[in-house]
Amino acid sequence: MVKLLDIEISAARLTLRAIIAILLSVFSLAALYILPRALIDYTSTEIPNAQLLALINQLLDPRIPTLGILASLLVLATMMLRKTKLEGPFLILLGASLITYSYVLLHGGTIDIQIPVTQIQSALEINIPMSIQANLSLNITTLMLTSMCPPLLIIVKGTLLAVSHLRKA
Amino acid sequence: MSNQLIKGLTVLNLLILLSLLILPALLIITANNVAGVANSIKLDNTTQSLNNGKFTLSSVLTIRNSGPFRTEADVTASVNGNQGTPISITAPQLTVEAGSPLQRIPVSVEIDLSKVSEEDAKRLASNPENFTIDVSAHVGMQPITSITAEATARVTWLPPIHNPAIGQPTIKGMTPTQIMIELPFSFENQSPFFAVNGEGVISVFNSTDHQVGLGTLKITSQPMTKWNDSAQITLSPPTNLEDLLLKDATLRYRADMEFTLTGLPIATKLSKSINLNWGAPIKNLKISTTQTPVNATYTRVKAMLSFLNNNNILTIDGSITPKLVNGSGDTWVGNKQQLHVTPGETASLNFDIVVPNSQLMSSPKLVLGLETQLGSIDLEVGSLG
Repeated sequence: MVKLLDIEISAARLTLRAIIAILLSVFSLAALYILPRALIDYTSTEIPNAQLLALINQLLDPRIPTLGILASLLVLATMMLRKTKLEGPFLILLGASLITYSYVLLHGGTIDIQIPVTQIQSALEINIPMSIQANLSLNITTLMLTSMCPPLLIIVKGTLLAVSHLRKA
Repeated sequence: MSNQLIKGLTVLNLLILLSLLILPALLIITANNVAGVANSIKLDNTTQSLNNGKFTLSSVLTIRNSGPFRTEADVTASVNGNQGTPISITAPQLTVEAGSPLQRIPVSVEIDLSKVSEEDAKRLASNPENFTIDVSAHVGMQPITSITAEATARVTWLPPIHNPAIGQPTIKGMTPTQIMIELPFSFENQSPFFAVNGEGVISVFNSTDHQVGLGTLKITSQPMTKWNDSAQITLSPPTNLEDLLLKDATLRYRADMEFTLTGLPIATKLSKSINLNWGAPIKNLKISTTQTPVNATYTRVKAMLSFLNNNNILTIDGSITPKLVNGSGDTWVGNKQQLHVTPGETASLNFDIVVPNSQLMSSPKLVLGLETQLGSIDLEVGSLG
């Protein structure tokens, strides 16, 4: 048996837990870090249109990969520390990091984009000399709040576990 | 751990699992719906037309909303000139129900030029102006997303009748009662949209403000082209025949041109002073006389006459008859000479008049009886003795 904080666990179970934790964190890392990182790298090197590149850069917040790493590490830690007194606090941290991630990814529910002017003109077949300033405001608050539901439930779970451990102590 | 807590945690785990399953599904459905609508949107057959003072920019919007969400779109727009010219616009509002098949929706933005004040219309006809177009478009996919686009465009209005100008007239012909002139008119249609079609009416007034001529001009000008043409105008000539025949003059007139354009609520008036350079058909009239006795009673008076036809279009046709007139009105008439003097030609004529010797002492007046296509006149050109 191996002592892990306030619990004892068999070596085999610990090994299995570690494997599951690593798999889940790798999955999280792929979804929350590698994918956005690759997208950012792809856009900055493969898109020749400067205006389109600026548009995509507006959509992809550079803090996303960092938050993705943090969330993945918290997934790893939370899985490893299951049933221990730190599971609750780590679940709260994981939920908070995922909420932050959703908030940053979806720009707080409102995405403001400066639209490349030449694209509007070519789309509307406007051939006269004119200058255009255009802004696009994308309201996805509902979508953002929906995406915050799972992390909120994780925080509730973490809080219940933390309170339960505190009472026990 | 209490049973209640375990049950609570189980429910929470189920909810987390459920939400983790629903969230990607919702994201995929929304993205799919947005992408489906966005992919199906196409604007075809964009046309611009101008009818009854309404400028319409129209297109056919092709859209398919496979669902599950309903799509709504509306556009509001306003146009304002930097000199405060307001132009009213009506724009479309549309709703595309979820699951709708491919729809072809005519969309048009209509700018009602007839609501532009007359003063503004006149200014816009020939002057550029910067317009600010504010457009706000809203597309909603209820209840998940809503997109608002706001665009401000600065467009320079380019006038359809830029720099209208009445040019210098030229005399093309003349009759005893009419002077035919050609009056050029030009302008530049700078507008990329509007063909200018219409009619210009030109009224010509003399120095005492009496209308002496009228002409019309059909105007047809394509966008972004220069246009010029000439109006044929018939003028009433000045009534003083002696001045007209003998004196170079600048005939001063005023031309007022008013044009109305088909489809554009623009009526514009131009006014210009025009001068016609009139050359005297009988200029530098010179006459010299010699007297030769015929017998004891009579004397032959020989007159040599010359003049220049300084008019550049008029050929003088007619005749000259010399006369000697004494103080009591008795007249001796010489031989009549036919006239045909082309523009720029100098005419030289010889006349004979036989007169009693007794009359030479009373210094009779030498008078030329002129008959031309412009009229008949007796000109006193000197006296004998």
